[in-house]
Amino acid sequence: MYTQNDIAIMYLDTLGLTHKHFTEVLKILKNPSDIFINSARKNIIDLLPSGSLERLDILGYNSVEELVTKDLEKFNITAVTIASSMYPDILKNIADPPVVLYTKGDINLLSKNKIGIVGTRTPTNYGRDVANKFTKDLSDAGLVTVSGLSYGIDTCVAVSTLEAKGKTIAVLAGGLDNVYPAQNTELSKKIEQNGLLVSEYRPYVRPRQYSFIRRNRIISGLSLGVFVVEAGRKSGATSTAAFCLEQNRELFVLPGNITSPQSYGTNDLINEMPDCFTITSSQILDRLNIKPKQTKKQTKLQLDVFSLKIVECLKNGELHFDEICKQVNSNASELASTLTMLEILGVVKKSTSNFYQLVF
Amino acid sequence: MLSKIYSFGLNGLNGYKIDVEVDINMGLPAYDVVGLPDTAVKESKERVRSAIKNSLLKFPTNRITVNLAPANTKKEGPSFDLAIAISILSASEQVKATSKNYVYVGELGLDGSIKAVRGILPLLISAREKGYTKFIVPNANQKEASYITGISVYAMDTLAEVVSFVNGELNKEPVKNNVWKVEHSSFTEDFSRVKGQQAVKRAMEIAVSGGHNILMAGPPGAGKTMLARCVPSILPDLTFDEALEITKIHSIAGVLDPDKGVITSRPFRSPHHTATNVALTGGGKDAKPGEISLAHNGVLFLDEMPEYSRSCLETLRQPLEDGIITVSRASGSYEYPANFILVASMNPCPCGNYGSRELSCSCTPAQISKYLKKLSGPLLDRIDIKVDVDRVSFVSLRGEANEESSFNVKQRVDAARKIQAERFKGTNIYCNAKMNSKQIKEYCKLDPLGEQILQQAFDKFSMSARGYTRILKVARTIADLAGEKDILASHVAEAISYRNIDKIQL
Repeated sequence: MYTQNDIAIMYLDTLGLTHKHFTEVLKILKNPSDIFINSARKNIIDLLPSGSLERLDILGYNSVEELVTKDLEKFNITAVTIASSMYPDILKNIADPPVVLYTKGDINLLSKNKIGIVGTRTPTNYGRDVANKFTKDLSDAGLVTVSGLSYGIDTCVAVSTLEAKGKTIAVLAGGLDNVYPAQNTELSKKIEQNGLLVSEYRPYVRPRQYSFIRRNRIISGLSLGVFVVEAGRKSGATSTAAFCLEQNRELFVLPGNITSPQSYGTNDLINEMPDCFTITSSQILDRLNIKPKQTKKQTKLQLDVFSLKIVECLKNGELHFDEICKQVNSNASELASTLTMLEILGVVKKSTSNFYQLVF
Repeated sequence: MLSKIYSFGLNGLNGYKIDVEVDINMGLPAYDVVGLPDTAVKESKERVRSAIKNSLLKFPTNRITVNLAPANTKKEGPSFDLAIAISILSASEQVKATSKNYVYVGELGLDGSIKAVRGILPLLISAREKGYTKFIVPNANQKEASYITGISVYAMDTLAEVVSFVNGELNKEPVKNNVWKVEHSSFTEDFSRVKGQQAVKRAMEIAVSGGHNILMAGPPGAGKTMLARCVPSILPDLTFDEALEITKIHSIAGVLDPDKGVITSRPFRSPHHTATNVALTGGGKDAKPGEISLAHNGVLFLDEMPEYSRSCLETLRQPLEDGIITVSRASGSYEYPANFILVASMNPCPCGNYGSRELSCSCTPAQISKYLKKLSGPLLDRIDIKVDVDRVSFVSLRGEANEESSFNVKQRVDAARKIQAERFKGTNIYCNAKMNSKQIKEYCKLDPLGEQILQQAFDKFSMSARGYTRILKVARTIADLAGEKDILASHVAEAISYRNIDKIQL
């Protein structure tokens, strides 16, 4: 299923070349598969580690193919090389596109319209709510969401896309056989079923500090635009925003509370570039020229008087259970059961501990 | 000369009869105790000798052999001293043959005084079952013994007193039976003194009503410990049978108050988190009952639950399920009841501020996850109610709002317990939390609306199948509290609200 070109690139990928050398090699060779032809490859000998070409002759093509694909088959990974027709064009035009994308899941998602949604690992409730809501809206409109499978906003994005029956791509900072962070292993399996896992590293490669930043260039590179939910100063999310600008993608930034450390980075971005100020999901769809799907008519819920009273007193923001109890003048038992009913109906949400709020 | 006197020993909660045989022969003065005695029993020799001498009686200067039959059971503790002394005096004909009519239990002092021993209550109860009716016990154990009807117990202070009594020289009335009555002790903590926390108080009321285990999570200073200490004030009254069960265990453990003699209020045990497995489950040299047995028919409070060692917490799993703990040691295997309500508290993360409004949490996701993982899934499955506790705002602390008193809550709890007692008549359980799957099916039928709400909640909150039975059981208790025969939709909805902590999203 892999062409000779694919195998050649995957072999070169195992040699650990720098990106500069790699592009040079590919420039010199007419076809990457030329490395298997003795006469065609003499110009690149200096660029490769010594002995790496001789090894090709000793092994022979079939053994090389087995060498580079054995691990992939074991983990059910599909490699998409830069020479492959499946390789997304949008990713080719960034400064240093990954030469091979190791993927697991629905490979067709690479050619769909994608939106990157990134943010802090320690979001506030506000950040979570917005991430969940926007993710839902954007994937309802047919966009594939792209995130990094980390804690916080990344997890919110992946989870709410799957909940909205949308498609999501998670770009990992290490090889696909060991998911980082380990807590999201379960989630990664779900993404495999209903989306795509992507990494530029062969399996077994452990994530390094620098690889998280390098991974961010793929998130923005794959996407038409990037939406930054919450980010501290000098955070991973702001680095993604920087890549996004460098790669000429659309940048969307959510404004936040000026006293909240999780919004320092995002507010700074808006301060520098007022254009990226984003407060609705339709702003994103408009700028990306994507038609929102017809919104389903919301059926009006019939609530009883007591429920309406609760909803009324939550209109000014979240409240503690005791406070609601006092305001609607009821006992704990009645209130607990009504709040749960409202929660099930999707009107009210328990934020943390005993605080309740209206669903955003 | 040969004599035989009866005494009783304890094996766990069960007493067994011991024949104290003494034979006095001609020969060089010697004193031997046979019949698997432990050190305390062997040492009785010195105590008995001095006690007899100091009671102005004669210690025979012949060859004395003491046999404790049956010879294959290990005899422990000093409680046979009195029986050995009487047996020696009987063999040397210093007391009359009428001495054989009594069962003797007690430790001797060198001056001839009789000292209190552990486990009088279970011992007398077992002896009564075996048909013995007349007992001589230490005066210090009098109170404890006074609650057992149908037997004559004579409480004595000194060996000399015992001798003149069995010889008929002294007239003494048996200990008067005490009528057991519930003690309405004043509790130091009362719900009326806890401001706010409506949700938690309600959860506690449900937990106590149905015997459900409850876990509170919240930041430090939220009042978790104070709330837990209020639990005794709403516990239902003890029945006499329950009180006897508790007293037996406390008597064996040697923690019974001699002035009271019997336990009158439900125990509230709060072992420290450095407690060992043995301290919790019971064990040690003489396989004494542990904290979970001492909390039998009461409350076991584990403050800062994740701080307990993992193995300690896991040992709770079986007793939480069966209400019994079997302690096996070299000396034998003992079964102690351990039917308690587990009240536990924890912080949401190591620093305690995760999810807090005012303070920021300084823990990494990995630390939080490690902290929460200390409570294993199977253990959490046995905790029906999980509830969040928040710091109370200054305003409501100062507020003059009248909080409901524990007395009022207790009335509702009592009523709900009564309904359950009626329901489970003739079975071996007494509260909703202990229902098995068959009973759940029988007593927790939902109407279509309730069924529908539960179904929706399952989809909405991605709950587990195990969560299902928990919610049904709690819903049953909520219905009982409301005095409803059937479980209504609103009961189900309220039950669903006590399910958090199952999943904390990082």
